[in-house]
Amino acid sequence: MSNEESLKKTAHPEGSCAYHENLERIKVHDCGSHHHRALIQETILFHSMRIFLGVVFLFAGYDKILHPQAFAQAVYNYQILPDAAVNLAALVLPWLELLLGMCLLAGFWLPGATVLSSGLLTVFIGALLFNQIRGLDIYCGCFSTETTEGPAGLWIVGRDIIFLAISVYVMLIILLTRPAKIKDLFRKANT
Amino acid sequence: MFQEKLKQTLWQSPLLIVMAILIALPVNHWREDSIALVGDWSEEARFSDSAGQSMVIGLEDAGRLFEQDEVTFLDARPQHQYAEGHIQSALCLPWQEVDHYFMEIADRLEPSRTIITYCDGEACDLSHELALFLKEMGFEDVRVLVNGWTVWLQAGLPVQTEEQTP
Repeated sequence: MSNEESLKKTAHPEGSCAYHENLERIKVHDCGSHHHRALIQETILFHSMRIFLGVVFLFAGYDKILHPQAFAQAVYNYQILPDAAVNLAALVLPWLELLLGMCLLAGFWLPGATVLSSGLLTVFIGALLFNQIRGLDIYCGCFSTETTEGPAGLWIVGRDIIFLAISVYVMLIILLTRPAKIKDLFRKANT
Repeated sequence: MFQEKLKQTLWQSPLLIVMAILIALPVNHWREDSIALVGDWSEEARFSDSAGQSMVIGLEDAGRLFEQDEVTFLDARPQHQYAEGHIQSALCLPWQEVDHYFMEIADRLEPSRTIITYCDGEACDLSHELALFLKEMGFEDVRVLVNGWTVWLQAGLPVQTEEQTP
């Protein structure tokens, strides 16, 4: 038995604080303290961000799946992939986004999903910046395949950087800690 | 724990990608508006009309029609780019505000005269969209000069800025 586990047992032999069982990173098991409130806030923040990111990816994939030809044109406009790879990317990418959105929403396969979502967002930002720098006036096919929305300006890069920050945050929590589940919050509330 | 999560990442990520491929390809195969797995992105294919006929015109032909004054050039780029410089005597018809600008210049277009649309950049689709629109409006001889502004400028053919427009 590790130190940590024994600490848990001795601090709460009656198991009144089951909520803490999943939170290894906080070693102080003092229910009701400010640590505890911070934990609840962290848990809520983590799950809100996870769900938000899931919805973002779900929407991002949905419109592109509906209009494959228009999205292929958008991918082509980026002038980054070789012509032969444009359609394949345009076909697979939306479904990948949809799957990632579903994983994020359901809390399923989160290590893989968050690493992929962070990777994808990094690639998107790189592609946008690359074209911004070389002065190619592409139209962003990020959320919509409607190419008359206006030039992909820096605000789209900014928006994607915010999404990336959220994605990296969720990824780090997933990879480095064992975050409490939403139901644990309710379990705590009932005890 | 980190190593365990890393292991999960290593099998989950590729599996998600494989799943996306396994869903995407059959769905594309069976849907009505499916696209080719390897698209034809050649100029001829990209700048074709609704019947699949290429609308592309070469720079030489475009220059000859220009010299013979048998063509109207339409600049499909945003107005500010037109103001900075355009093909001599070209009319400004930004695709993004086509409804507004088309009414302004409609009476200066003759249905029998050749129309060449252009924008800037190999992949620029504005001129193509505009050409399709004009065909729908009943103009018969509509052509696209691909990457028009750049190739025209590089060939040293006549250009003007907005101040000089008659």
